Amino acid sequence: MKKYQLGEFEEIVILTIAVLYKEAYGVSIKKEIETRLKRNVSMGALHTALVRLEDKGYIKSSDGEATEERAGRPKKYFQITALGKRAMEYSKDTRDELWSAIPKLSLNPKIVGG
Amino acid sequence: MKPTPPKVPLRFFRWYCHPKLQKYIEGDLIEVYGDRVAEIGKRKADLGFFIDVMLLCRPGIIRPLRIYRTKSNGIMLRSYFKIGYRNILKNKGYSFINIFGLSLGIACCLLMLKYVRFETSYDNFHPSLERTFRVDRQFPSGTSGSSAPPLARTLKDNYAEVEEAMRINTPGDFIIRHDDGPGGVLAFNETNIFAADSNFFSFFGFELKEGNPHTALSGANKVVLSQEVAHKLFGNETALGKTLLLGDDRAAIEVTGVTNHQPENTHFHFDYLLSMETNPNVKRRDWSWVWTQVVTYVRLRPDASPQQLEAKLAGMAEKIIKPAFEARGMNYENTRGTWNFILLPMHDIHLRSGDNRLGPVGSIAYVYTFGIIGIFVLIIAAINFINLSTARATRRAREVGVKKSLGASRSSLISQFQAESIMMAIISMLLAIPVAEGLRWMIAELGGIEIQFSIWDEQILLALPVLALFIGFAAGLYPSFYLTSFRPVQVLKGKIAAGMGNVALRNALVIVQFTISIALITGTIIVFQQLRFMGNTDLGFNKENVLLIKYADKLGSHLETFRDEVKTFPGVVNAGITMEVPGGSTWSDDFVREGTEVNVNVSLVKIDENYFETLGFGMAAGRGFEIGRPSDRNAVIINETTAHLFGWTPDQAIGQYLVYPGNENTRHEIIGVMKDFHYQSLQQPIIPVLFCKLDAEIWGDWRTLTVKFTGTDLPALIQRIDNNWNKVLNDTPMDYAFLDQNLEAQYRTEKKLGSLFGFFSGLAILIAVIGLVGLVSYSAEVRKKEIGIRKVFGASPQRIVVMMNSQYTRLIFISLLIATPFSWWAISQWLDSFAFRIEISPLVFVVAGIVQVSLALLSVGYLSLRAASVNPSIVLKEE
Repeated sequence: MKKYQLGEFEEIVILTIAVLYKEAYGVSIKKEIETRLKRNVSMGALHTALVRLEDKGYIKSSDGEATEERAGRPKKYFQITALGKRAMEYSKDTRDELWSAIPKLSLNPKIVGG
Repeated sequence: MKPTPPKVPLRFFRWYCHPKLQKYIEGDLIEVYGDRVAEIGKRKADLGFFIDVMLLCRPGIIRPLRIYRTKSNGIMLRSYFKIGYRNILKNKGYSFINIFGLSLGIACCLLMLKYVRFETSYDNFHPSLERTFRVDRQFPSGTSGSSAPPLARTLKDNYAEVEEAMRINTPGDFIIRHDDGPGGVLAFNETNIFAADSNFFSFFGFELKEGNPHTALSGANKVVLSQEVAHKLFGNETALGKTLLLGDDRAAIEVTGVTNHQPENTHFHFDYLLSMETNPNVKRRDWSWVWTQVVTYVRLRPDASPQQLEAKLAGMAEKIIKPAFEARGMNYENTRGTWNFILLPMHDIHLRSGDNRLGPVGSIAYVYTFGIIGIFVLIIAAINFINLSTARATRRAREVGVKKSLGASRSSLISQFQAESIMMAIISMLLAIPVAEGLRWMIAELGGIEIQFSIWDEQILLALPVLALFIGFAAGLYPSFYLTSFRPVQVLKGKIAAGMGNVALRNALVIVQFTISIALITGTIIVFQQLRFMGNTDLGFNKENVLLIKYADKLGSHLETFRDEVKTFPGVVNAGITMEVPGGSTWSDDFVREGTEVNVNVSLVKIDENYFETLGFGMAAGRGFEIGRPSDRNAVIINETTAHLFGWTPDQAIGQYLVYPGNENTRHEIIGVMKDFHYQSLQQPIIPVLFCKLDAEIWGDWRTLTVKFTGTDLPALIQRIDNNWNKVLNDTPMDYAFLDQNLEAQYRTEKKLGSLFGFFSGLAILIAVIGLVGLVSYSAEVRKKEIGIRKVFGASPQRIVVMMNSQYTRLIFISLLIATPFSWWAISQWLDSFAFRIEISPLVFVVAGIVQVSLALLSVGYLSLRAASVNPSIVLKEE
């Protein structure tokens, strides 16, 4: 099994990109995360994560249209690559494995020790 | 209205952001900004934008450093120089004008700065220079560096701040004889003789190559020689221990030292330095506070304050001088208020004192002037260089367009132009050195001024390349930044024509050049006017055709018979004996109006009955000395100024009596008042003079025989006089001179100034004209088509010439307006240093302007004529 390096925030970003499907670009990703997770996302952190993900080959970018709101600057749309999909699955699988290995008692605070 | 994000953070972002990411992230930023403005208002949106930009400043997003640039530089540099070199060769004419003009300017500046440095380096090798001072006396009319014998001892004994005091005395001129054994007796009329106290060498840093500096001057009858004199007298033998015979008494003096070559840059040189005791006059006058024939120096203790000492010296008059006067029965009250002693730092003597008993002085004003002139000339040359480079640069617009479209970055183009410009500047700099040598030779020939110059001078070796770099850089600024900003498309389409560049700036620079040139021209004209004025002013006596037989006192009692014999020679009109001639030294003493306290310090001159007639002095009242009137022995004749100072009109003065305190108050009757005459140079006001007879009981043993001759057969006359002389003194050479030549020598400094001014005006004009030629020929070429079109429309060649020249004439006129008040002021300052001076006439400025215009027109006339006579069809054909 290969090792897939995926930080916590990177994972969220890549998941959001998957959620947004063909609509994933800087601002939309930011808004989506902020809406769903109710946490503030700074442009700096976001773009850094996007650059890193792209360098690792987990996402790829393509040019989008320019709009009025962006003063004529184009958008950059992101998509998940096959490698990225595998990374996401690996991450999900490892989490699930860990979850299923938790004994019932560990998470149930009802039984009080003496 | 769409809100825009704050500009500064945006610029900052664009600067640091990686180019690849920039567009997209910027778009995101703007979109978010727009949303925020709608939600929370502009202020908070701006803040948010700012924070976002700051937070985006991270390693992943920042553009990489430009490592890729340095690799190409080495190779590019060589190509720049190659292209630069080829460019220079391509336009040999302009390149030569440019480079030569700049070298001329640099060379000028170099020489001037060298001169300035030399003049300011005087006396820098003496020990403890910062603690050494000369004790001067301040009068309303100026400062005098001469003091009286008791001053030194008084200072040392009474003031704790004084560590040492030393005096130098001017005993006058003597004949020095040396018994050379088989060679016979050598005799020389020596004029560079001084006497000094035994601690002389602790004050002046002359090195002795023979003898001990501590003992060489202690005791009587000792002398230290300069290296050159020792060689003259003794050849290559050791001089130490040899004996010389001093003066007419043939007093034996022992050589106790020989100095190494005395450096040029000191205010005092000597050929012979006697020990003070060898001159008995000084000891004899030890009581006198008015016999000011020494110069006093003091060295203060390390912790002493000169200001405090000076303040204390104010009290010396009452405490010490007054009692001294009264002890001799002299009137102190008349001199009250004239005993202002000041301490002049030794370093300032050469340039700032204006008075040096021991030698010539320079003037800080001249040093400043020449320094400024040097810098001005350099400015003119640099302006030329920049002007011409800038004008010509526009030709290369096309080259820039091609290079840019091939992918050259703007900075590499800038580097190219700078490199070319700096290269030309460096060539000029190298050329400047031989040019400076040539100029130096010319100055020495024409003006008689020696400027030491060697390139092996750390300051110059450092300054030159820096200067060249700076000028090259400045010249390259305009082409590099303006030209390289063109868009390639515009240039290649020909939309940016090779033009004149920034006309306003260039005109301004040309005006500066012309202003400087005009100022220099007016300066030269006025200096020469003043010189001519001084040469032509009636001095109050007749200076033409007067032969001076110097040191006539050697004839002793034979003097008067000698004079009578000479009077009978053919070609001789008259002969008179005097103690000193006009233009010579002044020997002053005090006289008091009898019955009053009025005391006047006069210059004393002893004469015979013929002197007035020989030199043609005029009488204002009374009579001159006459033969056969024994009472004349105690009589005196004063000039109008003296009479006035004593409170008389010339007529009133006749029959009055003066009292001479220096000789136990002897009484002297005034028998005549003569018209004022110029004893000293015209820089000085007329001084009070008092004449008495040769045999009066007053000091003053020097004699000069003045002989008025007609112009015929002068050599024969001199020979006859010489024969007579040798009959009386056969081992003493006769020394003679001419009065008019002597007087002319007074203005040597001014003459040198005039020559230098003239020289540099010429240079400045040359450089300005060179620049003008460059500009006009360039302009003519660039405007070929314009001229062709004008001609097609009917303009005659004359009109074109006028059109081309009129723009420069206008500039010259403006320069004239600017230069006039400035140089008027500057020249007035110089003229004020003369008691007798010309008035500045506005005509001078007009003349200067005309000269400038004519020169400009002459130089560009040919060029514009040639341009105007171009055949339109040939010019317009090229397209």
